[in-house]
Amino acid sequence: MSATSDILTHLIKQLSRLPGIGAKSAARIAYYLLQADRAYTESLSDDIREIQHRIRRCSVCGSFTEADPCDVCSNPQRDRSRICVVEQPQDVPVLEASGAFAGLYHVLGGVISPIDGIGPEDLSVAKLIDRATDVSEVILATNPTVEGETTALYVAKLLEERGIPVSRLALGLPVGGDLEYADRLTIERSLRGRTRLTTEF
Amino acid sequence: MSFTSVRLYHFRNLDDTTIETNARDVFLVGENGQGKTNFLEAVYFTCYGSSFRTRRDDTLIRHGEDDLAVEAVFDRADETHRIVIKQAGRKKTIELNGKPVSDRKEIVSNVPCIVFCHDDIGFVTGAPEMQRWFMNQTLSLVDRDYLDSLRLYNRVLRSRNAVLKSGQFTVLDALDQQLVETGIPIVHRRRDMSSRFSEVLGELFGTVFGSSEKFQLIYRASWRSDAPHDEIRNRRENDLRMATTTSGPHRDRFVYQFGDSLLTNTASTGQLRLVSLILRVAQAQFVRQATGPLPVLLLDDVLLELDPGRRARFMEALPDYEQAFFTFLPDEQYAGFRADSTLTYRVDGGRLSAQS
Repeated sequence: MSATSDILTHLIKQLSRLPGIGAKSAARIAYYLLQADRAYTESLSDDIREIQHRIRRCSVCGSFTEADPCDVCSNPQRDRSRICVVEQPQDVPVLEASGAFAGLYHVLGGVISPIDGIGPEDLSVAKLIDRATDVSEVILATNPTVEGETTALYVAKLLEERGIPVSRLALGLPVGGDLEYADRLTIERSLRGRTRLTTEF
Repeated sequence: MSFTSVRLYHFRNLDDTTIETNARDVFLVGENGQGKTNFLEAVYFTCYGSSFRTRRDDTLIRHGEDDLAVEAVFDRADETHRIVIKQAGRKKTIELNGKPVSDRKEIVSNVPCIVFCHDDIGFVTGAPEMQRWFMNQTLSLVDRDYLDSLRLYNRVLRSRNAVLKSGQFTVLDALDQQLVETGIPIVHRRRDMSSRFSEVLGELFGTVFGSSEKFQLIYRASWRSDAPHDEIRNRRENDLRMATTTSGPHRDRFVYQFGDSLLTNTASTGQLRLVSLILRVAQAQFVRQATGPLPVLLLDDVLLELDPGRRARFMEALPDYEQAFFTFLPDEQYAGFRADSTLTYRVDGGRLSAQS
């Protein structure tokens, strides 16, 4: 085996560790890179090298940021009386993109999953309690999975014990969706979470 | 619906071939160990995507081979459908009319298929787990979403048990609440089904046994109320000691009562066996009432153990069906059950050969 094919094999192996990339795609990417424009590959490798140096977790909310505290935490325009709690740092830009929330965020860094040995002490829960002492509302935006639900209930109880108002994102029909295609669990949830309709203009 | 043909490949000891099954009644005649039940199992496999004899589907692959395939062609509402199930090691792939099916539950409600076999007696006399299994199957045949509810509950249950074992007790309150939220819908459906199922059962029992005593199915939910939060809290000490969840739908019981006493206390083995057959008949009728299409019946050696009188009454009680597969020993008097259209196969060493 020549040195070139060794490094190629190594790169393919490395690429196949990426999420959503199997051995075949990894090989395709590796061969693409091999023949790609030199400027592109250099800039790509620079970005990969730099990303972990430049981007870190915000020391306040835990989301990804280049400046610490992050743009949201340091923005005086944000509503500091509300905190939205999410599972992962990548959930923050999703909520931000909606433009519907003007408060602050808090990233838990995962969910309680006893089967995987992940308990509350592995998440940023204590810090949330500290941050939440004088806010008027904490919004729990963990995913509607069994684990996300466990986490929400756990956090809600701690906050309620301290007299902090807690809410949970509504669960139900997707906007623009079709009732006909909704599964029963979703419909049950939607019925439970129904809201009063007012027709005052 | 009914099966017009079944193609087999590496399925247990059966020959790799296509078997024509285009008849209302299909008889499989052969000595024990020749492959009669294996063929029923193959048909069942295409209905449920799993076996009724084993939980390890990879054991269905012929010894020494890596993969198996069963392909069935069936008619439903004047349309021809084709289902293919392949098992390679532990990996299963299902295709319905050339389209991949990702979840087994999608085909379960597709083909109402009821099997009658020896082990069914466990639904009457066996561990509570067996009885719950039977009721879960009946419910999932009539209620597409029941399996989802069960899976959700089991997931919460596994989490709670992991917590009880590992000692992260702070999470227990949250999990208790989820246990109730996911468990109560199961209790409701079981309660609702039990009362309707009990009616079907009682009627059948009267026909077959010719008895006026009331026969009923009684559902005993592990939780005493529909808001069992306090019960769960009171049992927490106990749960911690046992390191497992000791109450909930996974501990529900189903018991059969004959007159004023429990069936298992008074009935003979022969009676219990007949009751287990009646359970299957009731299941078939129940599914028929709920979903419409006539079922396919698989009857594995069940007539063998009944005396002639009971056998005749049992045959009369059989629900109307689209198609039925029966297995017989060569010296059994099966000729009396034959109709002109009946297809008879002789099963010998895994080979099925048509008999005229």
